[in-house]
Amino acid sequence: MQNLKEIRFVATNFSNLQGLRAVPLGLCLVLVCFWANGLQYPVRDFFVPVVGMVGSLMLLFAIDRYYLHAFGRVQRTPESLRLEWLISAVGGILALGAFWLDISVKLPVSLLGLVCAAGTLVDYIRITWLVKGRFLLYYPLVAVLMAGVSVLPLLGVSNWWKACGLETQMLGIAMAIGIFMIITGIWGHIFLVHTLQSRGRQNDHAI
Amino acid sequence: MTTPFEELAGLDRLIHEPARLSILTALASCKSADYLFLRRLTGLTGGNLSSHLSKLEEGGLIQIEKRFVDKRPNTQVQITEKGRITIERHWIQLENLRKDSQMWKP
Repeated sequence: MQNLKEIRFVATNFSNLQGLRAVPLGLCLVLVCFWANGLQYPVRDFFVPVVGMVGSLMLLFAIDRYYLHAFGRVQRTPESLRLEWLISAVGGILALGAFWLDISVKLPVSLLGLVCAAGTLVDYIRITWLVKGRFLLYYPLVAVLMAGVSVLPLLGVSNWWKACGLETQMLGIAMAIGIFMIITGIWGHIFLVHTLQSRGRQNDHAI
Repeated sequence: MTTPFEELAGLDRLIHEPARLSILTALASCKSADYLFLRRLTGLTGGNLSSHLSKLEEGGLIQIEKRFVDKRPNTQVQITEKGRITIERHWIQLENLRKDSQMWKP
C-alpha cells in the first residue's frame, strides 16, 4: 500500500518534483538581490539582471530537456492544472499586494515573506491532499523558516539584513526566498531520483 | 456474506499482478504518461513493461498511442474509462480486505 501511495504521489506531482527547475529562478533572484544591494542611483547599467534572466532561462530550458530525456513526460489531469493555476493566481495577487504594502508602509514584519510562507504551506497541502502519506516534509519546514525570518523585527531582531550585508529588509526577504527556492529545488530533485532509483532496485528481478 | 478468502480469490488477476497494479495506479493519477516515465516509475525492464502494457491494452484498460515528438518516437499511455473504474473498484476491494483481515481471528 505504501508503494502504491508513493506511485500515486510521484505520478500526480511529477512536475512539482522536478525541483531543479526552481534552481535557476532562485539563483537569478539571489543575483538580482546582490546587484540591487550595490545600486547607485540613477541606474544606468542593467547588465547583471539581464544576464541573470537570460542565463536562468537558458538553464531552465536545459533542465527541462534533462527531465524529459531522463524521466519521461506526464500529462496532468485538467483538475490538478486548474487548481494549480488558481492557487498561483491568488498567490501572485497577494504577493503583489504584500510587496506594495512592504515598500509603502513601515511594518515590523515582512508581509511578502509571510505570503510566501503561507503559499508554501498551501502548496504542500495541495500536493499531498490526495495522497495521505508523509512526503515532502521540507515544505512545512521551509514555510516555518520563511515565516520566522519575516517576523524577526517583531521579535526584537531588528536590522538582521544589515548583519547579512544587505541594505533593506525587502532585499533580505527576496534573498531568503531565492535561497529557499534553491534548497527546496535540490531537495525535491533528490527525492525524485531516490524514489525512482529505489523502485528500480526493488523490481530488478520482476518478471 | 463472503469470507476474506473468497474476496481474495475474487480479485481481478489482470490488475492484481504487482507490476500491472503499479502501472494502472500511476495512470489513474494523471491524464497520460509516456513509456519512459512508466519504466522509471515501475523499475521494470523495457521488455517486461511492454508485455504488461500489451496485456492491459488487450483487457481494454489502457490506450497506447505511438507518435513522434521532436522527431523522436514517443509512446503515450492513457487509462480508459473502463480501466479507471476497474482500478478504483480494485482499491476498494483491497481496502475492504485489509479491514476484514484486521477483524479476522484464526
